[in-house]
Amino acid sequence: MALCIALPAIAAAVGLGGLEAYRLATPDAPLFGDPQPRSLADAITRGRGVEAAYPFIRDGQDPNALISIDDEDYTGGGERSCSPLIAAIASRDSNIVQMLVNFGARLDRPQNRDAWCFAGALGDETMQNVLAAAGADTDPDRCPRRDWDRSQAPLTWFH
Amino acid sequence: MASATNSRQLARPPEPHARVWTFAVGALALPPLLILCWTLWRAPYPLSEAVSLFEDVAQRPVSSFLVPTTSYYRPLFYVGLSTLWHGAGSIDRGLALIKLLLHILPLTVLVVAFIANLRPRSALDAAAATVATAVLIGSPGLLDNLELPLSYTLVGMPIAVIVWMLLERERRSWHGPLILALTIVALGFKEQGLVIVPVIVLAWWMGAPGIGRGTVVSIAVVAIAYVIFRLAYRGAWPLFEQDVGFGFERLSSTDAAQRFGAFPLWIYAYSSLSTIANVLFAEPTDGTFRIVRAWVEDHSQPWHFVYLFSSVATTTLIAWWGATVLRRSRRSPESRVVMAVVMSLLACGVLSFNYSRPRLGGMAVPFYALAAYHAIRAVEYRAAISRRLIAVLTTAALIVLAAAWQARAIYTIEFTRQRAVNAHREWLTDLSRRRANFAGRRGYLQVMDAMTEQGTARRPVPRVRYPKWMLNLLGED
Repeated sequence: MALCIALPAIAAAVGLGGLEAYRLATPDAPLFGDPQPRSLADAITRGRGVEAAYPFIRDGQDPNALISIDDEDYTGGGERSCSPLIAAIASRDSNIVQMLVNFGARLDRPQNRDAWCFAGALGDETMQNVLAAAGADTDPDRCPRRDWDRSQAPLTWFH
Repeated sequence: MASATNSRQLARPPEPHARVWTFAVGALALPPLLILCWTLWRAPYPLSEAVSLFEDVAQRPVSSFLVPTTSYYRPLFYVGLSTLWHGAGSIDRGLALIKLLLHILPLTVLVVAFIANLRPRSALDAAAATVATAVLIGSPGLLDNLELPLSYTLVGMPIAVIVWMLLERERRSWHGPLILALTIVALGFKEQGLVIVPVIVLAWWMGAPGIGRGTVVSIAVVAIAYVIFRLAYRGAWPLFEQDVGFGFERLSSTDAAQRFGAFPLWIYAYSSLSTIANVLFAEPTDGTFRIVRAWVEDHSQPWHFVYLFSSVATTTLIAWWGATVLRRSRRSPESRVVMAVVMSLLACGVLSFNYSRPRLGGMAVPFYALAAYHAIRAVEYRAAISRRLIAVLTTAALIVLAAAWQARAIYTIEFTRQRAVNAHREWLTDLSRRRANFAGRRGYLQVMDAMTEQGTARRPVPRVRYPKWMLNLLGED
């Protein structure tokens, strides 16, 4: 009887111990999360979240430097270059946008200047608010007079 | 009659291997304890709570924390923080020491002292002790007190266990001063330390061997002086300090003041009862009946039933065992455990009159888990001398109960991990906004800048990706 009642505790102890030993040996195993993406562009476009994107910035990648996106969902086909900030807006990940702003992305740089307008074109009001709070120019008259067709990939708005 | 005699004989097994069984239970508690400690060690301090708290510690003289200026009065907590912050030599070392001494150490002492206090003497005792340890680790009252750097009650909980151990041991000359000192420390970390006082007084009154009248009088005087001191310095306490849960809704402090301000006693009683009920029945949480609401709105989750079943079943067993024990004797060690649960719950309830949170029931959790040990043990021994069918059914029911509490203990680990991930994310995403909002507070910005490295450098240990069905059993996302 004692062994039976203690069985859940034994199973939990062995299971937890085993899982952590496995984590130590194989930290990249799918059981503990997705493997670290190969690039900042991958981290952003594959929806891997701010935790996956930040290590690239921490390791010295310039948050204002252009990155190549080769993902049909974003470019509509083919490869395009844009800033990480624009890519993060296209992915609608406000956490990555905030992280980039925190760690050096400049909203006054040419590659980021239309960030607020782009978020507006995507109809993403939350993102616009995030960018406005970060100091983006929120004058709508400044925005390029381009509509965005929702059936198209977001980065096509720039071309 | 013969059965009762057998039961009593079984309740005191002659097995001389208490140390072996204690180690066995400790060994089973070690993986969750180590994982929790490691998670806390790797977790960043949160940006929202920690920076302003450390700003205070960095800027104010340590003596200023002794004077109550608001309704939150935690002098020894702040003195401890200030000593470690200023005396460690560097901020990083100070932050590491605070984590180690005010979080990891109390948690470890709590679990180790709890198991040492149970001192199982047989396999059946040990089995009950494994369930009781899961009750301790899986209770919301502990989980809610694992938040960095708010260790006020996490320090008080092991103190409650140590005081209880001293009360139940043969009296030594140093017991009195030590119990008094520990009570003052618990009280100095948070007013929830007051919970220990009625427990001590009642235990003494019911014949606890480890304490004398002099110590009881001293502790009562200290407690009364503390309450008078707090009331004298209360200034203008707001009617409601934080959000208040009521029924299915959660009211802001302003809304609560508007709705209940004319006669707040009912809502105060409601909040007090909510805290007690959360310990006993896992519902309501924060004063809100979230599980009942989910059931009414037809979106119940499996973990709702795990929580309700485990808490209601454990409380029912404790009530049954407690009634039996009190009928038998009012001055036995077991009857003192029963009254310690009742008294600690009442005290937690009274002290949480303003708003209810699971953490405010934390001081009652060790006593609840201790009572769970005795109750489960009593059921085991009764089943052991019952007919085979009853023994099998009882064992099966206890296995389900044990499994439910283990699931809750695992959830404590997973929730603590998620809390660390959230804190890390907050550091990554919220720095600019904070810099803008606190532009006028140089001290805040200095502390925030000094803490940014600990908040961003290491990625906390992520949650385990359990299968969906298991996540549904463990708890909310």
